[in-house]
Amino acid sequence: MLSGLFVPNTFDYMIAGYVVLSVVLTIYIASIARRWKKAVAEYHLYQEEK
Amino acid sequence: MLEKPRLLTFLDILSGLMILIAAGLVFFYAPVEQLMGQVQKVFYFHVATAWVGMLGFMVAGVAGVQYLRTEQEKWDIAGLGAVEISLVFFMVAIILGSIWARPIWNTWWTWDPRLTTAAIVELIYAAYLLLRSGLDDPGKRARFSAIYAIFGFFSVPLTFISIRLLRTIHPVVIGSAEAASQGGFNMDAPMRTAFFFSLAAFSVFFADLLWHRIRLGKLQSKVNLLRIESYEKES
Amino acid sequence: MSAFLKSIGAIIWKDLKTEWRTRENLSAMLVFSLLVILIFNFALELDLRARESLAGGVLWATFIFAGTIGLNRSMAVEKDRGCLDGLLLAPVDRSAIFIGKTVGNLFFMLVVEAIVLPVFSFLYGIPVFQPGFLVVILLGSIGYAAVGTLLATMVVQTRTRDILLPILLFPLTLPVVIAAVKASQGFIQSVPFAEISVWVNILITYDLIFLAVAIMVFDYILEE
Repeated sequence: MLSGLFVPNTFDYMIAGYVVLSVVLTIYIASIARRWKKAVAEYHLYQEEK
Repeated sequence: MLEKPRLLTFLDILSGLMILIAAGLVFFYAPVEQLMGQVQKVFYFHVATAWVGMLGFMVAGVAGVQYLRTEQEKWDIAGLGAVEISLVFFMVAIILGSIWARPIWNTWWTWDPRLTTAAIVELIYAAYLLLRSGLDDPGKRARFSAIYAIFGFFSVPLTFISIRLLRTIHPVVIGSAEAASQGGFNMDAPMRTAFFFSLAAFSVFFADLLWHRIRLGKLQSKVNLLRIESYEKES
Repeated sequence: MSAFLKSIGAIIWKDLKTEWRTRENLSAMLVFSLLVILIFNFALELDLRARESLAGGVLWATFIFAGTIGLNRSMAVEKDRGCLDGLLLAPVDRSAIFIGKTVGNLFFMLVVEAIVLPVFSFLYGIPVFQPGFLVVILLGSIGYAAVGTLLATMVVQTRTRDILLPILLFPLTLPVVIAAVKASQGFIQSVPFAEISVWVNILITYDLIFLAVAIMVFDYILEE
């Protein structure tokens, strides 16, 4: 009967969830970007040697 | 090789937009679930990331078969990329599942068959990466990885079925008989919209990420070739 | 066809004869199994009834660990003595090599199991000589030996060798472990067969799928 009146406050958990999601995805995307830049730099290095 | 294809840029923008819209739907359009509160909103992206994990898993299996058939390096690169992405997304899905479980069932881990199988898949990926790191010959590395990915592709569904059967024969009573206390909830129309749109957004995001990752793999492979040529010239 | 069967027979015979000379591998597997059972006995100090409910699990954990040792050594010996190269030079169908090695490994597993089972039955007071139970042991061992042989052939060509086999093998053979334990446990506790049959079906399905896939894929492991 009262269940409709009191919604449990699980706000913090929701925030924690979305923070984890954003942080992990950001780290992964950054990792791809960093490896890409490194590969491009090496590519130019070897191209110049030619 | 270095120039970014325009379609990829378009895909970047599309996936970014779709994820933003999905987030908007989740936070502002879908209602707050009555019995669980706000944490239920974690569910949308929890399933979406697990979905991406599954997509990556299947791509890895298919890439394995294709590599064995064609011996074209791009399939090995695709397989590794798919495994990498799937690893990250399953990890997020498991963590989100844990965060969702904690306030509702007062436990961090529920031995749910799907999450348990996801954890096992993570172990298979770890084994896959260890296998690769133990092989220096690129041809062998590619072939063996492909074979392991194919084996994983067949074993995981069987594992999932086994675990599922394990639990139905010995059901774990979590709470009262109500669906809500067992973690279920009914989705109304706005929730369904948010749910399916999240799945779609993350699917596009997966394609986008995979393309980027494959590009990276191809460039790294080219750089490796150049490096070897350069050493040979020196000697 | 008969040439195919003959080559399989030759490979199995070679393995059996080689092993019989020193019996190193078999003794290692056997001693290890008995030690594992001993450790479990102390690690899980339980009363008689609780023991019965865990017997299936303890048994299969033992077989899995002992099986890994056997698999590792069996392939390592091939590689180190150059037998692998010899086999590859011979005009033998690759699949014959796989089937031959698998049957050999299966045979060694079964020998160890045949010795461990009575010991186990004696220590845990559990009747193990029911036909259904023995069929489960056979089915589980087949699946484990097949996937194990294939992976061992890969692993023996890596730098990280020994430790890599269990890491690769265990996650893939979980269906075997789960089904074999449940089925064994069912037979031990005299559960009606209708309930056990689903687990036996999973074992059979696993064996069929993985034998087929392994045979199809084995050629690619031995390319040079």
